[in-house]
Amino acid sequence: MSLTLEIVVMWVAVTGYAVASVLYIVGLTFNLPRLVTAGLIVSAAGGIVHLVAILGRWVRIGHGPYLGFYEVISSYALVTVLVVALLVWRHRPLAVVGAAAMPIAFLAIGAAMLTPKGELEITSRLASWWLGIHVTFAKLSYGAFIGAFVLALVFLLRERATGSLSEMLQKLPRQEIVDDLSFRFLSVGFIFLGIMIGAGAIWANEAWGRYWAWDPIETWSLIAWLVYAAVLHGRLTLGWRGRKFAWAAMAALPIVLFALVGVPIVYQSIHGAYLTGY
Amino acid sequence: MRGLPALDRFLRSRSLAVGLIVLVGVLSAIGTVPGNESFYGSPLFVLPLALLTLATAACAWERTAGARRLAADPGSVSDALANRLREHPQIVVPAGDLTADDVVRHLRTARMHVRSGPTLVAGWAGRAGLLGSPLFHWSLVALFVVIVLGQATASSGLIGVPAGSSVVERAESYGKLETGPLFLGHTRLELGVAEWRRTLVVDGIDRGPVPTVTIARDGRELERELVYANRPLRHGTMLVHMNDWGLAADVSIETSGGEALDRFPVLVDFADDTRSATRPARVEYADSAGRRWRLSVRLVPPADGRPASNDTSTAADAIIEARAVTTGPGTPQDAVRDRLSIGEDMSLPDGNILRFNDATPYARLSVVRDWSVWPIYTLLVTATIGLALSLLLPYRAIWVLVTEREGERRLHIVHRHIRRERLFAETIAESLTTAAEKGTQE
Repeated sequence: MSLTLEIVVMWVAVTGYAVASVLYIVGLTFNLPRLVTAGLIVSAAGGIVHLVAILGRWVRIGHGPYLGFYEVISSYALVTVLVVALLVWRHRPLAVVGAAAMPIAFLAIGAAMLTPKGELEITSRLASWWLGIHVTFAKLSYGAFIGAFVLALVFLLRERATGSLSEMLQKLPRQEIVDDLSFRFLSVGFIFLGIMIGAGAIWANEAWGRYWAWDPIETWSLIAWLVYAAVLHGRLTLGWRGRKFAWAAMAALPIVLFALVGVPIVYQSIHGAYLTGY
Repeated sequence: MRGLPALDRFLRSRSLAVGLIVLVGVLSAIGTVPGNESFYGSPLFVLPLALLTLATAACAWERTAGARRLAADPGSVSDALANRLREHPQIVVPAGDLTADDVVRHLRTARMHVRSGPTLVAGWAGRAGLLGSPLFHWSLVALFVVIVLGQATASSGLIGVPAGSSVVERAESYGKLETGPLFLGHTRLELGVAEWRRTLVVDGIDRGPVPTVTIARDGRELERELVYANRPLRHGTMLVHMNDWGLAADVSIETSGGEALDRFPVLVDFADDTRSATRPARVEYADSAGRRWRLSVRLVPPADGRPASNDTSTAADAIIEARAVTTGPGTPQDAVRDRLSIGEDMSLPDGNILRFNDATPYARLSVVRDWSVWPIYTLLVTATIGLALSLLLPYRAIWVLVTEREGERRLHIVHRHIRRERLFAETIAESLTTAAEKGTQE
């Protein structure tokens, strides 16, 4: 697949995500189940188109979507869309998760489309099995944290919602289950983030001869892990449940997103190459 | 000694743990501000980290004791628990026609281990999860300790080894060296570069200039490996990486009569962006009159632009600039300065001759000796296993007593979840209620 064709296919996916967002929101607001179903179908179709574009690029340039803003952000958006579509397909009352997640995915892929699409090569330093392990666990952990965030948002929305939104949210599993699900997503994300940091440390030792150097991205990943450790400690030992836990789970996400996207922009770092090029 | 219980209580405080975790996070963020790179070694950062380690150890100790107690007899019924079941159960549901055997079946369906009597059923799950929290917390404590000990005894530095030669691993051989305060000494192994490849393509990826590095002792070769990024050479706790490359000028000093006085390699660094010499290499020597001279030699950047990083043809065209000055008391006297190509020589102020014999590439090897790396990896694995057990396999237990008062049969339920979650017990209670109602209807 040529770059021109890839861009065209990607814009089709962007459009699909935008349409799915509208269908989800309108369907839920006006209690129109058919529109919600249409939102699910369009989001899944957009995800498949997006997947085709990513696979086409993968075949053309010879590596997965983990180098440069365009590839990294776009692949995170795809993982989010596919996970949410699966979740909503299996548990239709969770359509509200789709309504919250699809606009985020749309904005993410839209932002990715505005960044340079240069085809960065795997360098000698990046050529390692640890790259795959590191990146896989990064994507899994970020996906889980986004899941915890969305479920926490749903929990808080349901507490305050009135009118038709409230009626619609009543179809969801009871609050204790939403709270528990959010906790589980966060726990899994925490484990994956730890594995990502550990895999990164081992890889750094193989590539550079040191497992930790307080590089800004390393440090901000550790900070994100510490913040989520504090949230989990609050839940497990200080009894943060329900509203308190939901606010904590939501407040932690910007830190992990800053570690992913903000740090390579703000700091000069040997790590920054994966987002900003060489 | 009287203060010990108070200190123990302080260290085990949950609020302290959360506060310290957040504090270490904030301090870590402060260290990322440009110019604050040395912050992570300052007491402001190290002391809270040490306190967090102590608090983690205190919590781990407490959790270990609790986990051992629970794991020893997970479904046991104390007098207090029996009384609570009779008088103050957490959940009460109608029993219908359900018997203790029916409850046993329900708990087994919920994947619980079960112990039962005529009217009392105890069920539990996640016994292995009890290990999780202590394993995770002890692993973290051990990780902190091992990292500190490792850093205290480790050494890391850069050694330049010209192609076709070897150097002994000792302090003087390093261009840059950092050692911990408890460092035990150098190995005196011989690090050599047996072969130099201008370029090496593996799996379609250019690995750059690649040396074949050898490690030997008393001339006996112990290790030999092509070394490039992600492919270091290991020997015991020593890890050798290819860091960069430069040029080594083979320079000799001889008398006007041709008698060799000294011969040494002069390593000339490149900067990554310009590939030109960045600093001169300096050598000191004494002439026949006893005067000391400092000879500095630097590579002259090529006039026709910058060679690529893997272009070692620079070696053949190398030009060095040599400058000799007197050292010792008084103002240094700039005696001579000249540019030489390979094979050329120049006269030094004392009548001796400096000759530029040859230029070869040299490998700038990163040499790290740190025994703590494998223990750290092991502790990362045990910490992850502990965390996963603790979070994904939580210990939970439920006790169900079948009672009958004034002709009404009920199930009294008491439950315990390591995370104080009620959901699992409520789900079981709901399922028992449904079964009881169904039985009654039938």
